Amino acid sequence: MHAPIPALHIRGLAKAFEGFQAVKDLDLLVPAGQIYALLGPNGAGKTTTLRMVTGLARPDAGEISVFGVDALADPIEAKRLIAWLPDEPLLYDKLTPNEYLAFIAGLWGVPAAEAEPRAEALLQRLTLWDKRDIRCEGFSRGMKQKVALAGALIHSPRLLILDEPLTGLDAAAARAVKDILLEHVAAGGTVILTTHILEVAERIAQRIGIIRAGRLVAEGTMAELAVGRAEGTTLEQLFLELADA
Amino acid sequence: MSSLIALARPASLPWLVLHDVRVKARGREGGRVGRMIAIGVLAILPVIGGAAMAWRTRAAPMLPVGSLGYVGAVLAGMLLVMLSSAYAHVLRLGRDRGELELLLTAPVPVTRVVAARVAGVQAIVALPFLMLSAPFFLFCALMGRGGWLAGPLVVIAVAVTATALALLIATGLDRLLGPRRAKLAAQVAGIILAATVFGLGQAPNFAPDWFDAQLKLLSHRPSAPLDWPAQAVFGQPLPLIAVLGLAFAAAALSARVAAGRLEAAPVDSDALPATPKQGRRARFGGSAFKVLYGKELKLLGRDPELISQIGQQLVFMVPILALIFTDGQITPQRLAAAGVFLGGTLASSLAWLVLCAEDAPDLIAAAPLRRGVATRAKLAAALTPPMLLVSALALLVLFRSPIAAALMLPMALLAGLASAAMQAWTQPPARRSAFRKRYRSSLLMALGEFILLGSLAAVTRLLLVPSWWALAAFAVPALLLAGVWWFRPRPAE
Repeated sequence: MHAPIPALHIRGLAKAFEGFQAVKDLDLLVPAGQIYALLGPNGAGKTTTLRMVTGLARPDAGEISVFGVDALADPIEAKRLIAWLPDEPLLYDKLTPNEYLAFIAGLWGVPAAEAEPRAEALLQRLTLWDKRDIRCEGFSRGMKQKVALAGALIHSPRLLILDEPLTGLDAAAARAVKDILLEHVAAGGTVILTTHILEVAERIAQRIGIIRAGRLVAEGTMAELAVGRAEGTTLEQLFLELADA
Repeated sequence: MSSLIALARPASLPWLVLHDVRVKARGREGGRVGRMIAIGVLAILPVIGGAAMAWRTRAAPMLPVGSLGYVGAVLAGMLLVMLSSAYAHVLRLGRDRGELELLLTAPVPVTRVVAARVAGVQAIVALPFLMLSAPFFLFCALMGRGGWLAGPLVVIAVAVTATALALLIATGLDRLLGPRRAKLAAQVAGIILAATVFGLGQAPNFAPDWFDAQLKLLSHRPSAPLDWPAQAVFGQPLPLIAVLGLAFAAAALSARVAAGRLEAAPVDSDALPATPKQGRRARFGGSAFKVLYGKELKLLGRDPELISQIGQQLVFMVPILALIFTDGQITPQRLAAAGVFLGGTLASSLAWLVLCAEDAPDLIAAAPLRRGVATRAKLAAALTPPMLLVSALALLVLFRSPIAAALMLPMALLAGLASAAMQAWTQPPARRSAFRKRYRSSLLMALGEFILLGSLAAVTRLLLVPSWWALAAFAVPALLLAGVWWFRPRPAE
């Protein structure tokens, strides 16, 4: 019997910027159908790693495979499977949410017959339906983030990558985002997220990776990470111990 | 600068002005030595210019006649130009909102904070005119007309008045139309004002008889209170005191009015939530090329600020092109050359916006697009408006010279592609709001683009003559483009 294809498989990844080694010989395996939290202090290399996965930066060395597709050899095929949602929403202020979704659907080649009902469902789900034909320029940060999330989901990505998705969101918007991530995984998708809010990672992620100075220093489920430590150890305690060591 | 600030009383008007100057000076490129040299040159040049004028004409000094009408007309023209410039600066007054809010939360009268900001605008508005006029006033003084040394003071008074008027108009429009609409109205008014000033400046070339008649009228007009500014230039004490007094009273009034406006709402309308604007129902489906092309045209069409800036650029260009290419008579060949230049210029501006000022570059980069699709779609969007403009011009010449009309279109397309290539190869990614400042750091680029488009316009005209020199002229843009490509900055990655 074959082992299931992982959503993301990284081997020996490395990236340097002007002499600074942001990512060093990083190995990472993210199983499909789970929420994976990639944690680390500021400057640890999380965003750089994810930017390389999404094709926004070229690694100096290593291999990246997304659902078995070599992301370096065939970036277009890999990109079809991925949605990328950074902390600053990738939006156009002069477009309406509906126009934005039509634009993203066009870029990812989603046929109109599929895209239009999906857009309606997403806008309804994210309470943006009433605002669908109003330009985004007057939207709050939370609303913009929701529009961007709808854009990320419009092409039904198998792998959803989010960099600090809850930054600047109010409680209701943050709750909506978390619910959508859980629904995405329940529907068979995979989520990789970075966050500084450790409670969120502890509550919704099945697996957690902790990265420090460009290397993976710990990886596993919360229970696996807590092995050998006092009972009731929190992720915050673990993180502070591992990330600052 | 820091030692100067230490001399001033904290939170006083001079202290606030010096703080503003320090912050602005540190934002400029170049080191302390470079800045000191620039200030030195700016201070010494007018003196050298005035002395040189006096030395050259020492045998037969050509002193100005001193007609109040002429001087008054010049001052009125100066006021208009200054008003146009002050308006643009006043609109940007509240841009550094964070820093402004810090000052506004301090226990300092708001009028003083505003007055300090306005002083910066007054200086920017006055400086070019002082630089241009100082040699002339100095020359007059050296030739025995010491009273003319009052001239620079009148220039400063006109700048102060223009800034006060700009502030009052901006505040009035704000109250009347609301900040966003006021901003747009101000931009349109700015274009009209600038075009009027520019058109009047070109009047001696286009309508010399009319211009002479107006000059005669001015010189035979009886003296009136409106002549006070001109009398002040000649050093008459009472008019000088009146002009300075009125200017500074206007400045105090406008600072008070603007302070009220600043306290009530931000000056920068970008900081306000936009009035909800309904868009058309989005259409799903279509290729990546189609959605990218449509997106770029939508973004260009929905930005009135950019449209007004581009419109202003084109309005300024029309009289220049008329002078360069028509030489008094408009022929299809000359119109074709002007059309190529105009189309290329518009394409260059739009190419910068779509290629260098992409709002979400990571989104495009993360999309599964074949190589070159995004660039082709963006180029097509950048070239559509200029090609429509050139097509309209081609229709004008079609019946008089079908060949000129037929050649204008491909040459304009070539000019658009060439200028877009220059933008793509040399300009770093930027925000759309930096559109007006895009050449500030690269005069070489601006000059290169002018040569590129000028030579392609020349090629068009030579091909229509026809002349073999067209082939030689074609070498200029070809070599220029090759050079730009060769020396283009390479990305680090």
